[in-house]
Amino acid sequence: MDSAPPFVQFFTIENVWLALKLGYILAFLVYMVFAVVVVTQIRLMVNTLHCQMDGLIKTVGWLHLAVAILALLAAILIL
Amino acid sequence: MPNVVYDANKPAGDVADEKLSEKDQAEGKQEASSGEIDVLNSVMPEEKPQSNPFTTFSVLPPYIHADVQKSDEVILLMLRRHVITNVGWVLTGLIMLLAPLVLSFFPLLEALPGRFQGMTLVLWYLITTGFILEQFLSWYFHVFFITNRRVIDIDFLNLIYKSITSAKIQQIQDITVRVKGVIPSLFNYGNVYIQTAAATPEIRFDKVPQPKKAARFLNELLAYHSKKG
Repeated sequence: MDSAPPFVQFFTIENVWLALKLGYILAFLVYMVFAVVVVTQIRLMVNTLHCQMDGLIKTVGWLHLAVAILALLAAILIL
Repeated sequence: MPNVVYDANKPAGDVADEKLSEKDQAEGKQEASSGEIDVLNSVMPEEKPQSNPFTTFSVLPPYIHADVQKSDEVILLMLRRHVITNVGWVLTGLIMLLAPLVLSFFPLLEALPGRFQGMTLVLWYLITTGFILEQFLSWYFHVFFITNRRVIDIDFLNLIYKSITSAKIQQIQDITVRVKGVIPSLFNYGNVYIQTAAATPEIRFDKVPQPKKAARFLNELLAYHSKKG
């Protein structure tokens, strides 16, 4: 292994898991941004069209965002 | 107010009266829309206002208001895509929800440590939830209105872009109904194409229930407006 080029030496088992962890965190981060966009979208929709489900739909959007944030935190702490 | 009779506990005419009396009577809105409600009553005497929030076809919808509505504008008919058009994404959502069961037969994540396996499932279910939520919102908020003044198509094309297309009733030039295919024929839904002289040459009511009835109402409304001048 000592004679292997530095690029190959990078692929130790620890680094592979670290790279995978960063990949997962990035995926959860992207999802959290998506959840923020959904909340924005719901606000726009509800302001455009008022109906009796406004409150419920807004709540679902915020819950979805809360779960996405918790999942991101879990990924950072657990992985 | 002309005699508007619906065979229901709360007739459409009464709902219209209540809606109008809330804030618009002073502005003469009641008078302005009474003729249109008569037309509605003559084309769809059996239809009642629907308080069900998931309704796809409702005359004088009682709890819906669009921000583009003008002060003297009353929603006479509200349409959404037929419920059956949701079957595709509902099935996809169910398959996505049940997909992790495959892992008990094919341990695809076995190579990963336990914590990665758990977070993979969390990510998968989040993506599934996001997919279902997006599809539902896209269906729920894509509505078509026929008001006493205009036809309006409210659509949200992607996450933060909304499209509102409208044309005055008097600007309507042609109305075409297309019910194409076995399933649309079976469930009585289809497209209503409205050619207009407005900036947007065509407004399309996409996959709406009872398209012929909606088109007939539009035709009658157009005739009424032409007569009224």
